[in-house]
Amino acid sequence: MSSSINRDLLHEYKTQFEALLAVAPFTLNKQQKEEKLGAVLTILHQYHIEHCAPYRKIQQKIRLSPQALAPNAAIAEQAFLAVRLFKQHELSSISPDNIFKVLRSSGTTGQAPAKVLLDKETSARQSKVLVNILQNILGKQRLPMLVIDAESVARGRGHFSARTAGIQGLAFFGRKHVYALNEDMSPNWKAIDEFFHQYGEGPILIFGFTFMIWQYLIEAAIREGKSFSATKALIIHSGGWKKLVSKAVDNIAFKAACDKVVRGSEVHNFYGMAEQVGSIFIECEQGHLHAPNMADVIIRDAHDLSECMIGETGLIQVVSAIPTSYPGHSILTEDLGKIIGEDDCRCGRLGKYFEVSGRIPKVEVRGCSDTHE
Amino acid sequence: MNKLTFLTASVGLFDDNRLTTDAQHMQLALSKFTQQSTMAVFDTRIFTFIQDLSARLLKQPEFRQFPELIALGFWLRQANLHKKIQKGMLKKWPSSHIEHCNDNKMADGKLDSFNHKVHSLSQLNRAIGCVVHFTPANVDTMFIYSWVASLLMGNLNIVRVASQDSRSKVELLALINHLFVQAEHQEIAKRNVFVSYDKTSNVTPMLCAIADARMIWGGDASVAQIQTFSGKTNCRDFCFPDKYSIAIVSANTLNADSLSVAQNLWRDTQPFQQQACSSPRILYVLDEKSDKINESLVTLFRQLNDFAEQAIGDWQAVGRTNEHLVLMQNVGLMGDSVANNAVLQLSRVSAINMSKLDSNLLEMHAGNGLFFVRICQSLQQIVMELSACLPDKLQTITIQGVEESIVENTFTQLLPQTHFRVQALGQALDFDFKWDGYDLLSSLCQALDLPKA
Repeated sequence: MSSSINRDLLHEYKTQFEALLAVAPFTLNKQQKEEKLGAVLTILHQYHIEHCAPYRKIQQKIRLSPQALAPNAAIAEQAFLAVRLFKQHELSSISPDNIFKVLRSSGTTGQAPAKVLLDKETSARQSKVLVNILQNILGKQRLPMLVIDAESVARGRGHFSARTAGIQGLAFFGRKHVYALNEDMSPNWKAIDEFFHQYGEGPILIFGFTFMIWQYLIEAAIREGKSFSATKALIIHSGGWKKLVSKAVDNIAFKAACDKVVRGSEVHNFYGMAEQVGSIFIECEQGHLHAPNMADVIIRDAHDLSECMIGETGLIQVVSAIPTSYPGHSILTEDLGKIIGEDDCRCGRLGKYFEVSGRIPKVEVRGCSDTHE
Repeated sequence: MNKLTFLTASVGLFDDNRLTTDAQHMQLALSKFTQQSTMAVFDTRIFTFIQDLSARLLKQPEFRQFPELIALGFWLRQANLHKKIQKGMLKKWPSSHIEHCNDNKMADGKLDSFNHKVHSLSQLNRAIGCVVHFTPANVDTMFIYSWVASLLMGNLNIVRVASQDSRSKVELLALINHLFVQAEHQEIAKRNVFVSYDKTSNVTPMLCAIADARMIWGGDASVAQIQTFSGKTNCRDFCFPDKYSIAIVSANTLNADSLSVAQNLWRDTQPFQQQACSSPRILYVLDEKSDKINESLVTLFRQLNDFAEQAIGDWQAVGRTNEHLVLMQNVGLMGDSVANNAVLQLSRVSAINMSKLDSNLLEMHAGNGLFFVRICQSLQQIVMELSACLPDKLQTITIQGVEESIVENTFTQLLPQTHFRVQALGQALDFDFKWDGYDLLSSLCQALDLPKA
């Protein structure tokens, strides 16, 4: 592989990526997206084939569809990696000198966390895409921001976790950041009261992980009979519902409780992977998660990985136009969900909109072993 | 936590108390249990009980959805059980005992001859005492087979079953419990208990301390862990560490009748989601001049997939195919064990064409409906390959379209240390009293002095 070809490939990628970024984030219809995002993904696939030996081997040997390597493969026909591969291996398409940040996913109990290697360019692209998507919901103005976490977590003291990455990514959209939790995760009511007192007159931004907001803000406030108000409080949260299932809290209950504790709240959940930071799927006013121009979702039949139709539940595959430093542009997650529709959400955003219904139930991986369970 | 749960009516051990947490109380109960007399070897009451168990497994509709329980019912049927006992007796039993039997031969009829042999053996042997069974969590009704072996020899048995519940295990224990409360099976119920407890509790050392024999199933780690607890000095240990199994099918057979191969292979794969040691994980195709074999393999695995699609219960679990994908992508990433485009099928049942095998790959394989496929030109080639793949862990070789004696001889010659067994494809899980190198029947009893002639 000559370096001039590589440069051409990267150059071609950047041109196409910039073109995608230049337009508003939810404006491509099915056909346009297939063309524009499809082209970026094809290049990324080729790029990682050339720069990541493990990725190349996997794609050569474990070909999932005959069309996967065709130059104009449809998005749904392109190759994907099982998300667990990022927990089991360090997959990199850059030389070690160019590692700018290593992102570690929180990791399910008992599993190694994923290691995602970022170079400066991929990291910068993540921020750009996040801005592109979130401005659509938040507007261009930076809002006073209440972070439902402790400052040490936000700063990444200790290690750079997905939580840190999330907070740092979102922090860009706020100003006058206030951290709502003490180091022991107890609410800092004084700081919270002051925040609402000072900024409650105008729009504000509240961000935290779904479980953190529920447990340390909403539940704590209800317990202590506290409530707050703002003209408009945009509550952005992510991280999944797994820990809330046992408390029987779903999206509707979450929103209702938020509204009780923070009058004037407008809640948006988002779905995203630590392996694809930046290209997130944000919830619209209709309560649907939306795929932006930069990303897409494909639902796959859990039993044969073929593409599901609209309305059928299956494994969620996520694709992203962002990563060049690691081969994470097309990943089969272990989450289940279904597409609700495409290009026709009542909120007016184009692209697929979908819902996430949970995770694959834990698979018991056992050999002929384990007397002692 | 010393929580010990009795899963069967522990007659007389605790007064109507199925659960005990008190260590002293527990020890008292265990010593009371071990003080009981053993039954005679091949006591007729044992056969009566086993026939009752078998009949109900085959007759009662609630067991029909569990093929492993139906298979157990057939296995325990009188004709089959006698066959298995005879096979087990003739191989290793001291020949003097058998001769002694022949001397007293009274009738020519098959059953009479069997009964007579059994009777003589019961006169010449006695139980060894209290046998503690540590059973595997994943193949969770297999505990019955080793229990039956020990039961036949008249021993007292404590069977520790895993705390994880599968529906077939729950059904089976319910049936045993149902039989145990019946008057005619009281002598069996008194001497056999099924228990469950948390692995972090200290019940295991208490059971080890009273065991005259330990049946330790469940893989290398479990065997090593249980053996850290010392037992009686003369305690006999039967260890069943990790094993793997293979199938060998001739290309001709596969090309000619892939459906029969599929049916047989499925019979060996379906129980316990291919996690039993005896379920083949590697399919070898013996092919001298490979031409249309790939096509036949594609058909074979499509047929297996159809069976899996129709199977109920665990085979419908979401997530299995993703596990296959993870394993396949790992295999691909490691590089040179697979050729390009190696995936034969990725679905409920998946298969991947391997260009070679090694121990690492075998250890990555966790059952669950995945096959490593190898096309080889000769049996010698297969054995040479396996000799570098944990040959000590090879257990069952199932065959179709291949001569059994040739397989036996080739493997024996090249892998003389391995306790493998050769079975017809479809019979991989057919338990024998000779298992993993042990002669369970003769080892679970002890010889009495022969009467002077």
